[in-house]
Amino acid sequence: MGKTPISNRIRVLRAEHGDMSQGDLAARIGMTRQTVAAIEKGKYAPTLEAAFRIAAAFGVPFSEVFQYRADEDAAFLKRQKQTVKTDG
Amino acid sequence: MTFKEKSAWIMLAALIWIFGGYAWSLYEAGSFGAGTTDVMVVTIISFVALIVAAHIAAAIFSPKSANEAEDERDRRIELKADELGGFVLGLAALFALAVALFEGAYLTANILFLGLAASEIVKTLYQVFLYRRGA
Repeated sequence: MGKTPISNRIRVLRAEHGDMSQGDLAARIGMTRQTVAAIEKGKYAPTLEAAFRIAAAFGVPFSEVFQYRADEDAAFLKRQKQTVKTDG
Repeated sequence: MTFKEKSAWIMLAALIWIFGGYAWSLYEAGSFGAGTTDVMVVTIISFVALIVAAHIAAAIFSPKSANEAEDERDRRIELKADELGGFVLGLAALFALAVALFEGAYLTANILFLGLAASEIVKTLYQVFLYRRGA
C-alpha cells in the first residue's frame, strides 16, 4: 500500500464542514483516525464502499471527494502500452 | 498509532525476546536437537503471559484506541502480513520434512507431508468458493 493514483479533497471538505476532525470523520464512517489520515495522505486507497461512505458523510457526490489520476497509475499505463503494442 | 499496530509491536518484541532467548539457549547447549517438552511449555506460557500483560498495559494507557474496532485497513494489513508469515511457515515445514526424512522419522514426515497437502486443499477450496460466491 504505497502512494495511490487516487487523490482526494477530504482535508478541504473537513475544513468546509465545520472544521471536522479526522476522528469525527472516522467515527462517522466506521474507521480509525489513522486510516482517515492515511487516506488523506494518499497512502491508502479505501474500498469502494468506504469511499462512498466518506462522500455520504460530507453530503457531496463521490467525484467531489475522490479523483483518479490515470497518468500516475503505473499498472494502468503498463496495460495501455501493451494494448498499443498488440494493436500494432 | 492504532491499537492493532501497538499490538503488532508488542507481539514482535515478545516473539523476539522469548523465542530469541529460546533459540539462544539451544545455541549455547550446542545443538538444535536439544531441549525438552517442559522447556517448550514454559516458553509458551511465558510468551502468552508477557503478551497478555503488555496488551493490558497498552489498553490501560490508551483506552480510547483499545476500544476501537478494527477497520478495513487493519484487516487488509493483517491479510498481507498473514500471507508472508504463511510463506515462512511453509518453508519451515518443508525444512522439517527434509530433516524428518533424513533421520528416517516417517511418522513426523507423513504428518508434515499430509499437513502441507491439507493446507493447500483448504486454500484452493476456499478460493473456488470465493470465486463462485463472490469475494
